[in-house]
Amino acid sequence: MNAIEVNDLSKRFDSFQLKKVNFTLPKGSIMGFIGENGAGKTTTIKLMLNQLWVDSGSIQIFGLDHKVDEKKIKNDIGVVLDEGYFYENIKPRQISKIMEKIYTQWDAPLFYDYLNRFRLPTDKLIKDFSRGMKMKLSIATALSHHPKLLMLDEATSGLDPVVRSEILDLFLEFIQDEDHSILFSSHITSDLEKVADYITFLHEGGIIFSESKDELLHDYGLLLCGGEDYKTVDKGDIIGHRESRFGHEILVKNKERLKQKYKGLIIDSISIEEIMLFYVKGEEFK
Amino acid sequence: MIGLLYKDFYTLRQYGKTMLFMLVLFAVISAGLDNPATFFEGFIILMSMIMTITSFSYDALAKWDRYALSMPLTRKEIVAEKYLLSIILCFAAAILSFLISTVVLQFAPVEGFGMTAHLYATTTIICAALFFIGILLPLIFQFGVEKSRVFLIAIFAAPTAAVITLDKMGLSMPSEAALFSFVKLLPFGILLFYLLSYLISVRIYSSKEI
Repeated sequence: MNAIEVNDLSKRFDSFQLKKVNFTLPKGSIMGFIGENGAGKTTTIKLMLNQLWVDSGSIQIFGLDHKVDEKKIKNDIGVVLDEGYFYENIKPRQISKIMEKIYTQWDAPLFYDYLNRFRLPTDKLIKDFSRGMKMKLSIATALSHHPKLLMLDEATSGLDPVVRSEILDLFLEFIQDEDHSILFSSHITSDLEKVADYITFLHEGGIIFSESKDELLHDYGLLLCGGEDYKTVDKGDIIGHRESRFGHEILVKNKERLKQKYKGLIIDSISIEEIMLFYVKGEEFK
Repeated sequence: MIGLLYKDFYTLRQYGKTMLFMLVLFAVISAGLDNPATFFEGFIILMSMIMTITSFSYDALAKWDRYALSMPLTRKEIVAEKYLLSIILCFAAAILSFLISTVVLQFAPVEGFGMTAHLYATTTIICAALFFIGILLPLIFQFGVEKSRVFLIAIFAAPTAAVITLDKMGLSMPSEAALFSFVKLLPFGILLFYLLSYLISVRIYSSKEI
């Protein structure tokens, strides 16, 4: 079964449009949601949470309609937002008291376990917390009602590498349960490269690709060549192109096949960040 | 919904301390007036209304709406909680200030202002407060709390202006008996008005994109 199924999702604003977005997050996996700021990641998440209204298309979470079964779905989702949390004049202990009344499955001992693990005080006002501590608290809160799906909107942005790696470890732990899934939007692609099973890339409101990470890294490559060789490369093989002092860099797909085709040329592996940059900033792509 | 009430009470707790200070301050100020009870109660209940509005400000500061709408809470519940909060705050303030002024009246009685008149006066103040907040809440749900502060002034200015205008036009104040029968009907009218206001707010908030 799939944790999330998004079909032909569209939403129009005055200055921005989400165009027929499709992706599927299978149960038991982590999906990284990438794209530059304003690509439509937050809009998509808001639509899934029924905070914005869908113009057309459908969203199913745990196989249920996101609107009809909203309350049921939300009881099983943990959400971490980059903005939007408790007012800062509140203490973690009080958060537990509040959540106990909101989530049917709130687990206070588990919440205190997380606080302990993250070395967060239970009786201090949130306003005295650092950004990293606040984020850890948000994540502890999101995990303490035994959610099946964790949705994170830019949750690790602005955190130092130590805190980020602590959080990523927690995600990997959470995903050990086959029933659990994570949708994780971020523009820190290195984090996603570490933990994600699938990568969905949004650009200007449309999906560029939504594929398994391993296949992506296996499939895409960077062809390096000089000006003369560049002319011999089939235009159909070029997905993105960048010219520098040292020659031409070409984003290609089907790396292994092309290695056979262009025997004299070098085809390197490429990181997700570079793939993203090629699409966003490249001169040409199809 | 109970969780939301907890949340508002926790966040307003800081504010509650200021309220207690005001309570003492206004008890002292009103002691010098002809009828300390109505002034004191009026002010305390007004403060409770402002507390409701403050809870919206805190929500806006924390961008709470988006977070709340990721939880298993319906939009109806979110609206209902604010109405319940305003009623709880209003009655808590009314009972507290009524008790204090009753004690004060024991020591410094005001002529012609017995227990019955005191109860009528308190009821009227509660109804007036709920009337104002009933107008204000849908406006806050529609326009947000910051813009609604302007309405707050308008809402208070309008009835005052109306009374002054009527007075200038030479209309005499109604008789005491007429006033008393009006006060008896008032709570029912306010109850209906409040319900209507709630339904309007639910409608507004349910169609809102966050």
